[in-house]
Amino acid sequence: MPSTLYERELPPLPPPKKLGTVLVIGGCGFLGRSVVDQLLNFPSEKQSSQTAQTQSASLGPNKGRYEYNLEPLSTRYPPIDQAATTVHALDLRCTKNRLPGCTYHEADITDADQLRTVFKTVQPDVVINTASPQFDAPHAILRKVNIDGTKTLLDVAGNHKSWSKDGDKRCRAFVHTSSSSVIHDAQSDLKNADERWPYHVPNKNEFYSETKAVAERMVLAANGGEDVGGMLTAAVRPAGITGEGDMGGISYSICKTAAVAPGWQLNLQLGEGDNLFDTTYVGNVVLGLLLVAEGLLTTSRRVGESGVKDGGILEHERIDGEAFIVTNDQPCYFWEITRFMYSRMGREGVGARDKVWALPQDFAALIGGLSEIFGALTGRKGKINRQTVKYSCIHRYYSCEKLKRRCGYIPVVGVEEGLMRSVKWFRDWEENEAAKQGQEKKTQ
Amino acid sequence: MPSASSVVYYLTHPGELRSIIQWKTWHNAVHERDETKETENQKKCFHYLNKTSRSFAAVIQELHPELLMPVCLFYLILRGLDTIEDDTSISAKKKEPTLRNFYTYLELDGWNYTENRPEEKDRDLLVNFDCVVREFKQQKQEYRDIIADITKRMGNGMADYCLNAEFNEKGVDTIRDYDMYCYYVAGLVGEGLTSMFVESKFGNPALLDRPHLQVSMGLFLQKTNIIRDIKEDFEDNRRFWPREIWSNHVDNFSDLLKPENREIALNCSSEMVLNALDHADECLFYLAGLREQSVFNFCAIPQSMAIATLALCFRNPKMFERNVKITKGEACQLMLESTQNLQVVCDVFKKYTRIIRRKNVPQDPNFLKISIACGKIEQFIESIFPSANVKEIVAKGELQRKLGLGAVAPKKDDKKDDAQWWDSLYLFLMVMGLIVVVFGSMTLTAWALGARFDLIFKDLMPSNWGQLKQEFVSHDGPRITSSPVAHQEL
Repeated sequence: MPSTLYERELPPLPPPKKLGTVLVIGGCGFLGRSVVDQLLNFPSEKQSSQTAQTQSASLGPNKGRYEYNLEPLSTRYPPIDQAATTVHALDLRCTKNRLPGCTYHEADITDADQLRTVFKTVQPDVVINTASPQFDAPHAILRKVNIDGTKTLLDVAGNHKSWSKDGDKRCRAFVHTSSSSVIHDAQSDLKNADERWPYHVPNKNEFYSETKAVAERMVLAANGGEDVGGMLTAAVRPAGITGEGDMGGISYSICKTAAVAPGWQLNLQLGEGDNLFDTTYVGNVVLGLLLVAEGLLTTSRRVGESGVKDGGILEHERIDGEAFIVTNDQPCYFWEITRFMYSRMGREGVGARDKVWALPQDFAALIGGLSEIFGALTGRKGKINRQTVKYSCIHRYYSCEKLKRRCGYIPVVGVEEGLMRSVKWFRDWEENEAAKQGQEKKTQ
Repeated sequence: MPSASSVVYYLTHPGELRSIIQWKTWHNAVHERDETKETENQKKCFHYLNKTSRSFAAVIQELHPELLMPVCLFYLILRGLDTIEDDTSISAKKKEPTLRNFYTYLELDGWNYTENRPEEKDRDLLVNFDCVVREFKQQKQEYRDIIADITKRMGNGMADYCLNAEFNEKGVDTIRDYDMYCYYVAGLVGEGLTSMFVESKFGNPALLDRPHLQVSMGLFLQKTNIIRDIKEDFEDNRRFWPREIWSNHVDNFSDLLKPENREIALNCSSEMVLNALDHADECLFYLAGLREQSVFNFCAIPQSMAIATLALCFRNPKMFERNVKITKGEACQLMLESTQNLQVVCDVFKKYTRIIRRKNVPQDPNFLKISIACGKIEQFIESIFPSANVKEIVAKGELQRKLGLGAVAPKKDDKKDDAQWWDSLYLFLMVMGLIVVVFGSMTLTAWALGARFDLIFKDLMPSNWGQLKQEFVSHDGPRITSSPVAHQEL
């Protein structure tokens, strides 16, 4: 057999990336912490296990059965040249999720003065914006952070005269974290959708996605403009982020359910169960952000050298002014993800085919509606509503070909490992919380 | 004459019987052999084709006249090679050079081979191999070159395996070895056929630039057979399941066949199925490159059968007890669906991946990987046959980019949104209230007019269900109707 035919391993790692001074906005959040971690070549792994050796997550009651080797991330993701990269993080509060090697700055991104002060100290070449509230946050907060915050950030980053030390130093690249939901109406099937799909604005079902779309549009429109000092912009749209530190996304809610719900609930399935759903490991999302950042820096250099506005880059190679969907490139059946995680959370015996109880979608929607009414009347928020029913019954998966083709993206960590990492993290976190509570009791 | 059990089976599975009848009555071959124009020698070749192949004889004989004879000969030659390799009565020392030199015999007038043991089932073909050689010499040089090249490489591959003591003793070791073995016995055939399709202009030349596609075609079929034949091969003391896979589940290969290890063996077989499923999307991709109906049918039928066989084997404990195979009715259905176009074949693949998923259990260590493999097939099909109107969506996107729709900041008001929600809640409550009032007043009226609700409730008590049923059955008893009021009034 021709030897190259069956080599399906990952290609060798590229030379270390040089990104200059990077400012991570929202650097103490779930995604932001992971950006900082990857930029610093994974200090978190040195922290958790002294020797960054292979950790194994042995889960489930009969030990060893679901043994899963979690290879270190630092040897698999493309390295960052530490001598040529400096990492700063900005967040509203910088008390949690801190990593050694990063400088932290506290500021409110909706306050231009506070931002300018930070920019004056940091003098960034690259800004990566990961700040965003949870998708179910109150509308006022969504608007304030996602739209007003992005606008302020864009203005300050682009107006280098207001913060540059030598007056010539500019921020060259602005990478914005958007959401794959900007093209979705939150209720119909989305199959293999790509960047050609139009924004869904206004979005009456999900205000979060609407604010994300408006912000993305703003960021991309600013690309290379005079008013932002020629700063290049691009957006990355992740789909269903999972992994260590998730405190509100899909992997967290599934783990949480597995930890507390009675067995019959775990065997419940809404709809037929044939719907495919994208989840993306957080490290892969970060890789997408960093590849785009690197691409913007390259374009910026080429523009500077050639003197031509677009740097002579062909339309189908362009990175600046573009949006990129990032997924794990492994859409998975929604209900199989949940059953997988339940069983790996130690809920043995859950999800055997003859035990699964599939409710027809219409019936489930009715229950969702009743639960909403009940919630509204009693003032309590139920677990199930019409929107959650919708989400668990529709297809929602994307194509990430554009990011692969233009930026050389590879989903380094697969879906299964990503979910296992979420499970392992959740269990450790649970244990920690329990230990903390125990200690508090003792001291009392 | 059909057996009694098959009569019973098809009486209880009329859908399958229908497929058989439909296939037998409505299937028109795209091309048919014209026996009047065939020479005696050609007829002889077809005679051996029908004798040696159950599954391929029919599809080969429906091929376009341009490819009919070359593919038939290709099949017979490889069958001959295989018959020498399979014969355990021939010593390795004797076998090796014969396998390596087999391609040269194709040019030797009157060459035949008589050293097979009598019980070797295709011995006859090799004894009369001179008819194959004679016909081979009549073919176009291009086809002869392709056939000879593949025969040479396959013969060398087989000779290497025949000398490989470790392989013969312990079976296949790594997954890579497994791929290699399948490549030599099946992947190469795919390569030869692809070259012939492209040569005849019935295949897209781009297929040659993507060699992994044709390799996948062969590997998918071969791996399916290896999975299905576990019991049979084990009894013949042959082991094709790679150690790298079975050692994840058992310590000794023979443990797989022990009844007490059934659950573990099923997990192992599902890992084998997972390994095979990896090729499925590339098989569909390959089929997209074929330009002639008979060639498409020739390639698509075995692939559909393979995915159906995989679905049948997946987590099926019977596989370790006896030889399982798809029913004739299902096979006819598959042939009907594989002789149309790629979209129909894609639907077949979707249908069977769904069957596989329905049998997948979280307790299987490869549960999610299998789910992902199924998702990959579905995503691939979606990418070639999108279910949404992509053209329209893209046009809308273009327009939006030009006009800047969505760039407008939303004028959304939380309070208004909230108010809207309360509005619909009030509406819902009002409708519910109305229903209660109407229902109540009707009941009240009925009661005032003398309706005996107490009797109805009594009848509806669970203790009376048996009686109720009887009353429904016997027509002369008092019937409970859906309208109690009317009943009382009568």
